[in-house]
Amino acid sequence: MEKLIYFDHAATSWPKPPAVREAMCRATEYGGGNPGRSGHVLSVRAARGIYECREAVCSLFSFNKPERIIFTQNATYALNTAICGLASPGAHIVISNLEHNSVLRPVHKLSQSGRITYSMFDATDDDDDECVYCFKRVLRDNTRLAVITAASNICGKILPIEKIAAVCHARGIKLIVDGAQAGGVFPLNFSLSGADVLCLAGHKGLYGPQGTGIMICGENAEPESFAQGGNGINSEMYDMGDILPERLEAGTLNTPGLWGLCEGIKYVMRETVEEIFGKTLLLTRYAAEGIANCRDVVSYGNYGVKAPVILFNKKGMSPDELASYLSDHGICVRAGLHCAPIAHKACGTGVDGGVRVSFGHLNTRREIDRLLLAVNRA
Amino acid sequence: MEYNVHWKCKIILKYKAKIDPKGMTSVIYSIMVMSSVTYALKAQGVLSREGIGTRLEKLTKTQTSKGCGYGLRIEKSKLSEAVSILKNEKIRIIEITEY
Repeated sequence: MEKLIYFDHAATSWPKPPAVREAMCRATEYGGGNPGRSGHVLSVRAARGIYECREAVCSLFSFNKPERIIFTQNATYALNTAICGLASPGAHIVISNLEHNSVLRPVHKLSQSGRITYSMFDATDDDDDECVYCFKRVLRDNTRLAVITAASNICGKILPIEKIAAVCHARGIKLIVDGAQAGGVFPLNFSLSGADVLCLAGHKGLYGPQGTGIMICGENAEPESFAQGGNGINSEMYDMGDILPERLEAGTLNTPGLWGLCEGIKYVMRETVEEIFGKTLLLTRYAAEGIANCRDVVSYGNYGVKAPVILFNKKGMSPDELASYLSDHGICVRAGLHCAPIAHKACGTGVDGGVRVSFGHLNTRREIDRLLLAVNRA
Repeated sequence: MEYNVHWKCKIILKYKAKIDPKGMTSVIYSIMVMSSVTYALKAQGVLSREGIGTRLEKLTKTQTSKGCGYGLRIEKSKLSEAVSILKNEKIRIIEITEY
């Protein structure tokens, strides 16, 4: 039986390094207490392992304040926390037309409630300066917040975050970056990016388990608390207090997940993000060229340098049908709108979306050859 | 030196204290009360790198006027140096109490 080919890393990375699984098992046995709640050895061990994860995040993203690393259950929750925590009443918010629903939906809901208004700018142009120009065009006097993806989850377009951040800072606009498709995928230095908040998925490019998300909170960002509950400090108070990270971490943290995430981040640092990106970029270009030569296939988002994602459709087949065919042949991809309907609209895929193939650095050209053969035969 | 004492060692230390209570309990300790377990761990790491050992403890109401809290137990002789180091690192100590 041929080996399973996994081309769905933009959804979640697989397989995880063995050290991740081992750390999670170790956490349940050795660090099985509730972190930050008790004084016994199991609770302190749990807390210590989680703190080590905060430090690992700081190392990877060039940030020096582990207490401003907030853990959540996923990037979606991190984005909701950041957006709702920084959206002031009456503010205007700007998002790009490549955003995932984890950005669009909380922003849209805030606007539906009358709290804010928002605008979208076209981020599809390959030219960074054109992208920044489109961003500037939608700014208003009361624009207070911008929420931008670092890289599109459907077409791989990498947005010029540093240039957008410069515009934001000049106008007193806070910038939240959705780094779900960027963390561990291509080099991202938080301090140099100019972002005020960076939200990350633990389970994609960082090779951690599902159930982990990260919010890096720069020193100029003080989001209001999003979820209210126990956080292990000042229990006599009726509010979450003002100390990070506990102000934004209500409830028990995912100790096994975060111990695992710590090992995932260490794995990425050993491999180096530069190496990982170099390998996946070559794979992406090889696959894109091959897909473009496939029979009856139309591809989208053909950027020179991009996140390791390609998007295409085959004439005469719906995306779901093609994905199902590929799955029957041992090839894992994702079809549909990928929780990013506005991005699909921007890329011109149609109401059914498309088939997305996303690579990890351990995928091979031979696996891509099998994909191309299957797409041609479908 | 960081002492994360294994439970077996704790029993040995308690026993030694009974044999030689003067020797084992002559050291005076202080508690630096921190904002949260996160800050306690941060402070512990910083001090450990400077060669100052501390023990992370969940505090009782008799140890601190603060509610739920964590602190670092430290030999009193090393307290002033530790306070200075943490001040330089902008790590806030809520209060200092006697152990």
